[in-house]
Amino acid sequence: MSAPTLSIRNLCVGVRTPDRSTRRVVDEVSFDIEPGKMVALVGESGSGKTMIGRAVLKLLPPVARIESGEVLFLGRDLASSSEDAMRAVRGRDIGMVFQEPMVSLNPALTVGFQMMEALRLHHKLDSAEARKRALEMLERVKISDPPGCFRAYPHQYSGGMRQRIMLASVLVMRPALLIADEPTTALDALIQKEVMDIMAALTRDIGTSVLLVSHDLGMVASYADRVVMLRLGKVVEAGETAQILLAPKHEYTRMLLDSLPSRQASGPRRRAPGETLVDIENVSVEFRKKPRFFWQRPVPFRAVDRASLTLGKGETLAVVGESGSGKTTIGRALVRLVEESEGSIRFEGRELTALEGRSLASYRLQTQMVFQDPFSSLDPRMTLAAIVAEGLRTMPGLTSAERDRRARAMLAEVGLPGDYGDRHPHELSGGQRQRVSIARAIVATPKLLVADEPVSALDVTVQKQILRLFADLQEKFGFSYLFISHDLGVVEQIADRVVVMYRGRILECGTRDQVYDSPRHPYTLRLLAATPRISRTADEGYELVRHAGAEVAPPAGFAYYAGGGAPVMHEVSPGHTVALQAA
Amino acid sequence: MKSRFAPALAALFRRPNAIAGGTLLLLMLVAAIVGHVYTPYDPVENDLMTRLKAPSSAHWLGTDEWGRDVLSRLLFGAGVSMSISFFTVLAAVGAGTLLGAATGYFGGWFERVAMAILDALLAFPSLIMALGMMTVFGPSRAGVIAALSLAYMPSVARVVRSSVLSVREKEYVEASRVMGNSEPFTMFRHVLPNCLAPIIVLATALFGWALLAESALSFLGLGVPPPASSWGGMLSDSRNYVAQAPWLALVPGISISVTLLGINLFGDALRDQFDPRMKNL
Repeated sequence: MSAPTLSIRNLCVGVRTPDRSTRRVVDEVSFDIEPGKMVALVGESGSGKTMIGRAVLKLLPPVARIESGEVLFLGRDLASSSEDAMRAVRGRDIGMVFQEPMVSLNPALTVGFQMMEALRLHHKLDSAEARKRALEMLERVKISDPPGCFRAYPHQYSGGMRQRIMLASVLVMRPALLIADEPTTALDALIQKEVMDIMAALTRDIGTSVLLVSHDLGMVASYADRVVMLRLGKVVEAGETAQILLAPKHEYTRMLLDSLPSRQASGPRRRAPGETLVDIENVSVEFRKKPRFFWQRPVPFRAVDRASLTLGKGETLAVVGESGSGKTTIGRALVRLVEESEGSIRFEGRELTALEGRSLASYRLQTQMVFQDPFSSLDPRMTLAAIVAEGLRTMPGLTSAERDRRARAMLAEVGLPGDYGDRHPHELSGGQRQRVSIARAIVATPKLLVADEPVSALDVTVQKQILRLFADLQEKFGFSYLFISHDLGVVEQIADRVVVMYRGRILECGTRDQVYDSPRHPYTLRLLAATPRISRTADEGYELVRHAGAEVAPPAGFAYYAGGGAPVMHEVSPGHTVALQAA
Repeated sequence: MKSRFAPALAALFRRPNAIAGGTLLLLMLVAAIVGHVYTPYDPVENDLMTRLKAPSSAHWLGTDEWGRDVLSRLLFGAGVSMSISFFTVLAAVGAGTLLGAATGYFGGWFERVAMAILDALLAFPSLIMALGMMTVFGPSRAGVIAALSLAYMPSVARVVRSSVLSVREKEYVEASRVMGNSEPFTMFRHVLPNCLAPIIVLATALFGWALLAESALSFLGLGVPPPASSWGGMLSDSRNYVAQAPWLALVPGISISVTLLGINLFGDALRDQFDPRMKNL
């Protein structure tokens, strides 16, 4: 076996805390990366995985310092290298791709200029040669018009394209090692798969070793050769991917794998098909794009285009789709943060647009929302009890003492008992904040709860607890639940029915089993195929499940809806509809 | 509210900046109060027998060209100058906050029109604008306050608007709307309190500017009308006697500088205290 590209020996990184003591965030970590292999650092937030990636390049934040250990890159110790020596290594020998491509690409320079800059600096190429290499690389990351891209600016591209450009500009240097820190976390499932496929193929061709930093176990299982499992700065377990993720020995790895969402064996509680709570019929929501010049009329843009769906009492309906699909807008229309421009939304048979004054206030008490970002959804200046009590402010006939009492009772209900009511949001973890958000939403016992990606910012173990909490509260209070998410795994675990949206249109709608087991629309199929899952097998092991549903031909005379015109919703089986258009 | 306020105040006065600045400000406040209750001599009474006397045991800080006791005028002027600054800041910050919050929160054509007017006002250097207004109002204490607060209001509105624009996008503001709270309630309960830090910092800076601007206006003869004393007025009167009686310029000059130092130190401490990231430093 050849010498490893990167060999980390007993690495320790310390962080200075505000009270001037030092906390170890990376503790005696050792692992190797063989040439051309992909090694994944996996762990929850606070595991030190990002710190290790940064320590290799000595790009640690100012409060952090390498305390001891070696970072052997091609036999040379980087931990003791000078800043000048590091500058020669960064970019040329070790490339790095970050989570947020908009931040790592300079918005004021063209793509071509940025790619050539590094080539000329490190490889001393003349500009014609540099240009040729850059164009070649853009072609290999499947950018459709390389010369055009060369002249374009980063903001002209979407997130997935930008991440490809980023990959191209890093790999054009043919580095021996690529450090990819959550490279696809900000991207939608389909794009995520494309980018990872390109990255895996390119690095294999060039012979670049990859250090992948990720929390996504499904993705790691599909791409990495080896896995290093971290917890609180220590290596829990390391080895071949299949061995670690599919036959884990360590308890922590098993716990993490068991926290992954999975279809409940018993299935979600089926409520008797009862009354309809919300009936959305042919609803469109239009936004106005700001025109380029002030004398032009604003351009209307349909975020939701003639969508229809119903939500029964006590039911959990999941709306899935990528960003820009309109799933969030539907939820916002339900809680009246935006208004529909046509169509009708009825709540218990009453038209929402007709609501105003008192009836609107009473409607607002019956619908509540849980937001995605646990760090921006709570007012930092208020105590938790005050935050939750505000949910009762518009309820008639309550004294403030009564509101406070109910708020504290609800906080205890979501697992924040006792003096938590007097604390402030900044004293809580992400999961605890999301509990407060949930308490605020249900303290007035609403009939409808809209949750927009409520668990996507959380670690899997915390995510599992929050999903459990949602299920328990729904059992107890009986609210209907509109769950908006891009995470098909989570949806599979909790939804009764699923709606798939794409560019403002509903493409498929059905019960969870219908959509997951016999998807019809090609888009749903692709979405499911792009989301590998790790699930438990009968014999205590785990397996990587990739959805491989076969395409079913549409009814004669029709094609599956693919944009343009108006779709026809066709019922393939009772309760399962798919969007078609005339062939 | 009460339970949070006391520990915050205690934490504030653990900062060296706050202690030093607070002490200086307290000193000036005491001087201002004393000046309105008791002064060794009548601050406006002329005594031509004791013109331009150097500091002595009878007149600790000397006398001016009309034989008035400089210490008495300094103490009396402290109240005049500081009250002008105080009310200027109060009016400028109050009006600027309301206007900035309204434009930032509601947007639309109201924002465009209001911001266009404010930007036009901002284009004038504030002292020049205050000068222009003083010629309309005529020299008086109220006139100075009105002119200065109008001159400073646009910059406050700008600062408040930009911070309202960023807070407005937070999810807790949307959450408040979903809970059925009215727009004004959301504004005063969630948006403005979270814009407080820059407002407080700006207010302390404004206090210093107003003190200097009052001095400048009085220096140009457009400030507080004589014979009542203000620090700026004293400075302005001293200019003909700098060589013969340097204490006439030094005494109000040092007082203004010390007050500014106090304000700036205190403002720094307040800024740190209200910035959550600085809380534990």
